[in-house]
Amino acid sequence: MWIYYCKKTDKNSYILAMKKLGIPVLLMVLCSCSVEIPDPVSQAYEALPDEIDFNFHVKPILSDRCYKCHGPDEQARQADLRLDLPHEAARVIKASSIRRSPLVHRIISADPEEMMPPPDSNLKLTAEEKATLIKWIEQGAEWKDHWAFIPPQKPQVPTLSDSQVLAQNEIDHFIFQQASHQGLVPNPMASKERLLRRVTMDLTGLPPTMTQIKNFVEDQSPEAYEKVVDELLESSACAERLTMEWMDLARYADSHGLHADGWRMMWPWRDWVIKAFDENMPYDQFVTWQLAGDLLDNATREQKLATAFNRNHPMTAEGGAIDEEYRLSYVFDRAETAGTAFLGLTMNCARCHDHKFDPVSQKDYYQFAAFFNNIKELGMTGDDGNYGPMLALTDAETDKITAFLDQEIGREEQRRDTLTRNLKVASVPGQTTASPPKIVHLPLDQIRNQRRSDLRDPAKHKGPLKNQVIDNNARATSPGNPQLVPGKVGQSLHFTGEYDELYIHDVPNFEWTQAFSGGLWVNTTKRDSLKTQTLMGTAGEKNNFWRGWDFFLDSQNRLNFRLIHSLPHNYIHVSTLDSVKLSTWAHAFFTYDGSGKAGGIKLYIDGRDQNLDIGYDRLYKSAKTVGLGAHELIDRPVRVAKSYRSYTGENGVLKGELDEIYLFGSSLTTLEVHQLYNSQSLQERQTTSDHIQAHNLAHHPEIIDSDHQLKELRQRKLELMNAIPEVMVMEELPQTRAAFAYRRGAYDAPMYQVETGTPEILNQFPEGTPRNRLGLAKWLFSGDNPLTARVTVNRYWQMLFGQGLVSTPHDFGVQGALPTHPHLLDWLAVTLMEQQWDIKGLLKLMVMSHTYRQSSSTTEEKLRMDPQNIYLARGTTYRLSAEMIRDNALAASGLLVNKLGGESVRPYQPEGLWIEKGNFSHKLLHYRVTRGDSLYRRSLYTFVKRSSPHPAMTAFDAPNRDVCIVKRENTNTPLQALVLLNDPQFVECSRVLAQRVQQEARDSLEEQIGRAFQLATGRSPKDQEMQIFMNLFNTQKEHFRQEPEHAQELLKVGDYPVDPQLNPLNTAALTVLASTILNHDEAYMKR
Amino acid sequence: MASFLDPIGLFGQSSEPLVTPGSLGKPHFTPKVKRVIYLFQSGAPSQLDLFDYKPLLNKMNGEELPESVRQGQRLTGMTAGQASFPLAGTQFNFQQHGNSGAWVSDLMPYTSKLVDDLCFIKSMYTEAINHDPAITFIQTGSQFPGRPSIGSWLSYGLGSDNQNLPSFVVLLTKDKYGQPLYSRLWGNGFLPSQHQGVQFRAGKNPVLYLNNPPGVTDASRREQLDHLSQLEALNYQDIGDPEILARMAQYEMAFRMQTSVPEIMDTSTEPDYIYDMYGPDSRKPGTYAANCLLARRLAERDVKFIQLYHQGWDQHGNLPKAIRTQCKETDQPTAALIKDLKQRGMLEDTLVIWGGEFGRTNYSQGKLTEIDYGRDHHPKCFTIFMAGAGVKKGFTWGGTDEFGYNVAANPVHVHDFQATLLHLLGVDHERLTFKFQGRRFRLTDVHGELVKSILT
Repeated sequence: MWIYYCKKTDKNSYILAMKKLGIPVLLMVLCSCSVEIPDPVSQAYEALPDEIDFNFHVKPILSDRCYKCHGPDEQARQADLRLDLPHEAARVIKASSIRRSPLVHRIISADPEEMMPPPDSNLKLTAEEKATLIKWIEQGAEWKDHWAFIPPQKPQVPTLSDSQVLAQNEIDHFIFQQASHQGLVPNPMASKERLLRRVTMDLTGLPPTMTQIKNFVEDQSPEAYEKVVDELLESSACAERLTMEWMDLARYADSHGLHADGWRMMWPWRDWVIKAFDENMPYDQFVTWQLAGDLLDNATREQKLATAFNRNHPMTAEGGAIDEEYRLSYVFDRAETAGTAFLGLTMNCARCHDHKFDPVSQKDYYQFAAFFNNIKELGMTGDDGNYGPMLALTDAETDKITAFLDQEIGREEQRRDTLTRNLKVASVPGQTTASPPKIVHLPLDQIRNQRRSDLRDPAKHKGPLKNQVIDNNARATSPGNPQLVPGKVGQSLHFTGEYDELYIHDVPNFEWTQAFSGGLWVNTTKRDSLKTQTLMGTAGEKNNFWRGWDFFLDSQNRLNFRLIHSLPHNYIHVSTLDSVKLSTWAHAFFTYDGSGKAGGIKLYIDGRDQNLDIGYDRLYKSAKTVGLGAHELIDRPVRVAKSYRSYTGENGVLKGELDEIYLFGSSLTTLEVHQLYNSQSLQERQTTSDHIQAHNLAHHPEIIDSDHQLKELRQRKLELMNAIPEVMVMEELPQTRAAFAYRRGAYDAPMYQVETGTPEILNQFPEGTPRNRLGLAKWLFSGDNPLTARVTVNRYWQMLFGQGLVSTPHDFGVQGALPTHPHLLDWLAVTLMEQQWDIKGLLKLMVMSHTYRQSSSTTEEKLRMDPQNIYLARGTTYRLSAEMIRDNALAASGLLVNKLGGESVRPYQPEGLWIEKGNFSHKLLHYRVTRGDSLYRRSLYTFVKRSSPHPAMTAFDAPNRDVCIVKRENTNTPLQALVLLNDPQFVECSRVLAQRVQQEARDSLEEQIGRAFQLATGRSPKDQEMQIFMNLFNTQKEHFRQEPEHAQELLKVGDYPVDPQLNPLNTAALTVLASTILNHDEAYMKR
Repeated sequence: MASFLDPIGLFGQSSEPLVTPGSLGKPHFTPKVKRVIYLFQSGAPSQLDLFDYKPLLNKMNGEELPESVRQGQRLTGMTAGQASFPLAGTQFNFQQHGNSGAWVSDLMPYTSKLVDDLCFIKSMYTEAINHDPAITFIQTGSQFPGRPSIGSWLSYGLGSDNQNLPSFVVLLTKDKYGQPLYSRLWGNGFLPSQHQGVQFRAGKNPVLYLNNPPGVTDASRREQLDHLSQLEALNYQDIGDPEILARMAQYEMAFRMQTSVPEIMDTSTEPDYIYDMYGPDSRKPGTYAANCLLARRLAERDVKFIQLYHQGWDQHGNLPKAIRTQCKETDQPTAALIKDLKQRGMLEDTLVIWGGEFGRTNYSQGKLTEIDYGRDHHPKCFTIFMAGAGVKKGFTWGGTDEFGYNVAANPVHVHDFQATLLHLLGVDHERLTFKFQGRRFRLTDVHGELVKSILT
């Protein structure tokens, strides 16, 4: 320990003097005080830079070690002290005075009671960090705003000394300048072969072809490289490559992720991304469409499709899940994804509390999340399938036909209207037609235990009979014990328990083009603010899309009728404004006219046509009931007094009595309904001439004929629509859903209501911009947003250089890494904005730089001086991504099938991996390999099942797409070696590569080996390498010669046919050799 | 990884397998436990029919669960709609066992003989009411996907004690269905992927892609790797990137695994009395019994975290019959594993854990009949047990009220359990952290209290 006692003096001159004398600098710093500085801190002090910058040196320390208790989070704050606000921090910092600074005192104290951070925080300051804080305070403790929250200004491009002739563009000026400060000199250009391989892999994810290599190596013109770059950027392979990155960011998957992890279809969105990249859509537009394409004026199908980005999050179908809990988690996921992907902010930290490090409050978080809160969606869906909001992916042809059919339907509806107005029919009683034909009439007057003779198919039935038979009608049964009690007409059934429901069998499975009606007498004793009561219906549960129809009392005992294809997006729903009274008999009736419109439904209470509230009015696909799992058409009996729903805790159990159930296969007229309500005598009916006239009209032959025409037209349109696939997209609710802040994000603990808004610390929301997702996108891309452009260029820098200029691409906040080249980052960010967010332009700029093109070889000296290659005085190297490694092997062997887009494919995968994890999803129960071309598609098309992603991809750090990932891990494990050596996909690639080189280079083995090596690594083998290969070939061939059956076995791996023209021993030996090449460093590393 | 490797040793014929240290370098304090075998009972076993004896439920069988007990606890959507919540007494006989007098039902005849070696926690509770979030919570510390699993944290923090095998091995009972499992349960989350659990399977391919392709012998593979090694040596001379050496080290590890894994999986050398102890299923690869036996073999080779999963405990209905099957499959092997470890002296530094993701309700889901009942998910209390190093023997911690509905004494939250588990391995759960997306994450989030009372 050193103790200094000094008298106050002119500091600068003193320092200067001391420096000349070679006296440690800390001595001067502390000369004005009596502070005991531990040795290590003093030593560290000497190594510090001359000027301590708040953002680059001090804030990372304060943020990481102090803000937990002295930061923005009010809940966690200790001693009422904030070190994130200069005026508050000032009282403990005491700028320029070490002696009087309590902060200095605390950080060097060894007393557990005094020291900061306190021992129980598990946080510590290193000697260097302590010295940094001391020096900063000593220099005046100047504060600066966090660098990333200040909009980037275009910095001056540094001028270089003449010696640095290597510079190709501005990037190099920035890089070289900083390297030279470190005493580093950039490497020379990489060899042509390596450079071509590097740039081709980087921009397309595929290796260069033999022709490309030859052309480039031979092209001596100065533009040779640029020509190649332009061609690569133009290629659709480049679009696929960029899409691969984007799929991680967008957490794209082909399954739902949670619980059943069932099937979803989102690949059309992925194909849109490919197309957008292929067209080099400006990035601002690209992101705007994805965030808010649906909100653009006259949004096109593509603009809506783009918004599927927001629906790629995992979803649950677990029975019993609480809908709102999960719905909110999807809302949060969207917000956090946007926060990470576009802003580089760790918004998620503020879900539970004010951000501990960044000035993002909990309110900021929930205001931001509110942008994504406003769609009609479910928290708990079915196991398999897509759920609304949805976009029907019709093609132009279908659009034409549907437009035509719509026109025809409109014309026919008009004709019917005209007929209705003009046809002359009687309007006096006595001339009405007979009562309409019934499908069902149950008086509910009798009940008895089922007999074997009641069974519809006794042979099939085994075991005891358990059902009750109603009204001696084998079509009407109950597994429970509804009681017979005096009713409205004769007896009625009394339902008390939850297992008393009634089934009516052999009722047609109504399509929505079919008119039908039904009703009953109800006397309910229940009104539950959270529950509904089903009168009757066929509508199913989550695993069959709730498909069918239902007629029920809601929580207010209002009458409701729904006709459902799938919730929450494809159905019609109406409800009465009035309720049925408690403990009073009411006649409840619905009629539906087959129009597929809410307007075609009428609801009656006690024979009176009710005013209706239209809950939802969009039905365009079949409403016929389907089964669980396979979703094939299945007729379900009509269930009375309980819904078919389960899993939600809202089973629609009716309490009370029912009487006189009717079902009709037509839309009853008001007169007919009235007759059912009051069938005593015609005189007593309170009928009007209007009702009679309407009734007679409905039964007029011309109207019947028109109805028939309409039904046919609608049926044709329906059949067309049924075949149309749909993708999950965004669609704003007409009315804003109230958004709240929640205590620790818990769905059942709302704290206060919030409006949409962006974090306060960032740029202002642009004036006159709608406060919705579209406004959010405008805000994101407005010139004064400090983050968007920086985050974008950083991510693409990372794609090409392995590491971003900010090494934490997901975190530009105070806890994130500082930019290694802040000026370059800003220069690139501003350039990107100036150039209208041209991504390919940005990529070109980067790959044209010498920094990118330089050789990656290194020396011990360089390794020592810059082990992480932060200063980029050599080319970057890292392991290629999972997809690129596989695609390289496919391309080298010639197996690669270059087809753009389409359904995800299932290449080879060890058996049983899906079923061993779960058997809830019907569609994804077993992994079934898709044969043929699908085996050899680029890896971005490989099916992603989140709970069991492809193991060969996982081995190479492909994420399972649960959350937005903007930076993959890059590891090195034995499992990777096992995949490359033994995965049938790679073994087959080796074999086919072995065949290919024999076919293409018939004459010499050396030529074959050279070609194989070049195809897989992009360069020709050196002599020494060739010797090793020759040696390996000979020993392997000898082995196969001795055991020819081994050769036969090896050649059988994979579906691709064996070339019978070739010598199997040669092919087998070359297969091992090709496998060795595919396992060679340069086949999977970027060099 | 690279920094631990000696480039000269690598290209030489043999180098002593190194033990790979974890990020902590050495544990925070001397660990009592060297390795863990976690027998995960997926689907949530009914504590009320196995360990948590509540005679009152039998007395009140069929009567309504008093609201004073339920206290508005949220229910899953599966029983929230039920009009009534009839209490369901167990149909199984409970008896006290051993010197410790622990209550165990006759569903567990083998385990009940070992109670004096066991440490029960009857006051476990969790926050999730459904399987996916609950199992994700107990295995990763968060209800939502994305975090590393317990085994991954340990691999990351403590490294490996065996250079020929992964430090975190996962075994699933084969052809046993029930609530889904997810690779994320043994996933590395945001930790580097070498820390993910490696699944060992019954059958010819015990680790994915472990076997040489058909027609390639071990000798031929060795030859191939030797040549690859020569090529990479040249490459290293040329490029100078130490990553090349690190890669080759992994190729060697892969090669060693090709021998070490099948060796482990081949139990044919086990004597008959061992098979008899684990029960008849232990001769059928992929069963829970066979996996228990494998777990012992893995523990013998110092695999640090051995995670078994056995599905099928989700008995919403038909519980009396279904739970019998489950117990028949698991009781004997579980007990045998503990006995076996004890006989070998391995229980001194091995910890065995048995338990599921939550408990089950004291009322019946669906109709309560004389012979049948079901139980819904119940997060408010459940029972787990441990055996082995660092925990008290013949000991019970915590308890529930007489309805078996609420914890009455010494509650143990899932994060407390996780904190204690890490502690036993010498890790302070607050200090094993990983910085990701701007925040230091840990297994126990911002919670977790060490359950000191169960420690020796």
